[in-house]
Amino acid sequence: MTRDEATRLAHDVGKYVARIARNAPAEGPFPAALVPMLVKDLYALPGGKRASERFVELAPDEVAMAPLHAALTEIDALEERVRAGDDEACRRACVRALEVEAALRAYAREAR
Amino acid sequence: MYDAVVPRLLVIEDGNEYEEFATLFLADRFEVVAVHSAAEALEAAPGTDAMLIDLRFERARDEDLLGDAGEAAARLFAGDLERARRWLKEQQGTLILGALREAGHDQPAVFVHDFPPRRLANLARLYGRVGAVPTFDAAAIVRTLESLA
Amino acid sequence: MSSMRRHPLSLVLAFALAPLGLAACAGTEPVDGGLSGASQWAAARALWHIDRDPAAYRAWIEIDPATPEGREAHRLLAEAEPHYRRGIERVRGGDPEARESFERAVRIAPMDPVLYLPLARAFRDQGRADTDNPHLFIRAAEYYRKFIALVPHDPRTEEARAELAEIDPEGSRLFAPPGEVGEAASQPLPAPQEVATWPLWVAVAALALAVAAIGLLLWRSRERLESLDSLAERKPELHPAIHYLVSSLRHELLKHRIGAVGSAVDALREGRASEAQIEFLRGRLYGGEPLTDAWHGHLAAFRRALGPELDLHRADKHFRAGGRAIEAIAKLEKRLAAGDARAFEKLSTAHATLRELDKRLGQLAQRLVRTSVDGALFRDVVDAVRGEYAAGAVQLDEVVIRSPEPAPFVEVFRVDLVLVLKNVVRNAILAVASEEPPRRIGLDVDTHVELTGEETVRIHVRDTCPQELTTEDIYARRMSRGLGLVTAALSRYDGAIQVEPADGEWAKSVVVRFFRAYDEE
Repeated sequence: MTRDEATRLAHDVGKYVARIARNAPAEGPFPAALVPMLVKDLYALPGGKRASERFVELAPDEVAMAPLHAALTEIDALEERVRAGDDEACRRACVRALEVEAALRAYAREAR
Repeated sequence: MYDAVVPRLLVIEDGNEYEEFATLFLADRFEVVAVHSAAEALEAAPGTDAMLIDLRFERARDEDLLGDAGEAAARLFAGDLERARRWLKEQQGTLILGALREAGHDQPAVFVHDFPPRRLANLARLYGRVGAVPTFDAAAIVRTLESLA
Repeated sequence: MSSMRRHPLSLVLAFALAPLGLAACAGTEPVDGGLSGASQWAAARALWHIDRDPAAYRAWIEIDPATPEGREAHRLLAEAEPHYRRGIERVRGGDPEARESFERAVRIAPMDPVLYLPLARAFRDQGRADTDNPHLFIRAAEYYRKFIALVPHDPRTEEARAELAEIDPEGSRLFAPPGEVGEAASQPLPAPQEVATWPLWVAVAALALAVAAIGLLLWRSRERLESLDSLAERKPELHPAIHYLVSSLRHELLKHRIGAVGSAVDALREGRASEAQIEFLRGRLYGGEPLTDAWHGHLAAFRRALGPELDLHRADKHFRAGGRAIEAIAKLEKRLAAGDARAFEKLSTAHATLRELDKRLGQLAQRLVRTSVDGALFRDVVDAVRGEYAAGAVQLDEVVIRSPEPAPFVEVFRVDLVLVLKNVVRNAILAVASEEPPRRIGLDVDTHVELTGEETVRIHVRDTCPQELTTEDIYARRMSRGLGLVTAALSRYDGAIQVEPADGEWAKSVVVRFFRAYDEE
């Protein structure tokens, strides 16, 4: 994967998938006001695609990508509960989103 | 750090993700002013205290882009005009910042992008008070803007 | 048995082929002290890079280090010296690939003649260790003679003569000093012209050795064991092929069959695997083509593309570990099905080994596509073009090569960058051919900061041909002058080519430009 492709992956998926996840309060119930934006981050990125869809479009065929794919698959499985504002589901989705973001950022740095 | 009672943050992007983010997480520190092109940014810049700039303007219309695609194609992309346009979109935020600086707007500016250190240093040399945070991290953005003030 | 003994003639071949320029050394005059610094430097460079004259060292070292030219000459000499010393160490250690260090050094600057003595000794010692191979002594004698001829006033010359006499009593007499006691002293000294003829017969001998050794090398290479990293290091022209093969292995086997089951392997080891995970794991590891067949199929593809002598299982520890891990996984099927906890552990260990292999291959693939734009690259390009019939026939007065430290990197396969530059350099040489002297070409590189903060690497190929050339001409001529390949490569790597106007010293400059790959992190 080229430097540009890795940068694009980190930008299009990593940066946006963690937009709410990184800033949500660490404790207490997940704020209802953040749920619509969390839903956007996970299931309707800029361009309208789910994070997992955009990931599949851009990710290279590498072993290192498999855990990220698994994380995004888990996020997809949580969709109904996240949309409903389920606290546990939102928290879990945020944890997985942050994992994806950190891994893609590290990957893009390695590709430089 | 800022003279105004409520400092104004100029958000420059091609969509509305930065504006949404700033409204939710930076509104206690800034009045958010969002624009979507270089022309709008030049118009809105006076009276703002800081800038939050998107790097990639992939949803922007060709006619709204700063930069000469023909010149870039010849000089950088072996005459490939389409590739040059794509590059202008991918790097548009830096070009808009350049235009703002040229027009005399020297407010601290922050990108949400994980620039290689060497490139960020180049941007600082070119455009003065420029910083970057790698992710949408409200606390880090505020810290960076304060460090540049 | 040492590697030297396994490959007795490889060092001989290495040095017969290494352009250390034996034949021309004795009669070369130092560069005229009356020349200007720039002219003196140009002449000194030509003496080495065009003529390959080992006396060039003296010409280089005599350039005043207080001048810019002198600084450059001394810098390049200092840059080359560790490679020469490393080459000598490799000879001493019996490394059959010692040639690499010398080839690298030769592209940078001439060798300090005092190093011929340790070089001679290294060959002598190898000759003593390998008594079946007289060529090593011939080579040692050759370098003793060079040392004596080029640095006759070195305090170790007497020692060198004595050591030469031990291995070549006949030949050493030619190099005995005036008044030496013994047989040499009792006979008249050879006439100067006789001394001057020795390089000729040594050169002829070297050529004969080279021809003989080429055949032996071809035979020997069938047995060579080499890791993939080493092969990639040694043969940049194979980088695209290696990149493709590595990518296929990673995609088809390491990702889809190994990487895909990572979560299931972890879950199994931790005793929390679901039925679905176990079924998925069974399908990926034991369904379809057996893993071992798939693995060996990939290794066979490497051999087909890169040479039958490439035995990665034997020569590359990472592939060896990967192969063992594949074998281990293949043997675990029944025990995994039976729920054997130790089998889960073994599977986890083998899986980790393969993940490590994948990581290493990923790093290798990334390295392959990054090229340092440095003086060695430019010298390779110029040497390759000068080796061609038409461009080699052109009498060049000067080839100026300049490169910054540290050299910038670009994300381009080296072989493709060489292809691009060879085309541009060839056209520059052929362009100056039809002009009156001085016929000069120059290669240098700089970086430019774009308004986006990115940097571009600009490689300038300059020449003294006053004929007008425009960027449009280059694109128009691309079909007739091989530039079609150039523009295809530029397009693949986000590069460009442009003609820039004269800057005084040169008539024009063709600029090849790529984005800089950041290398500091």
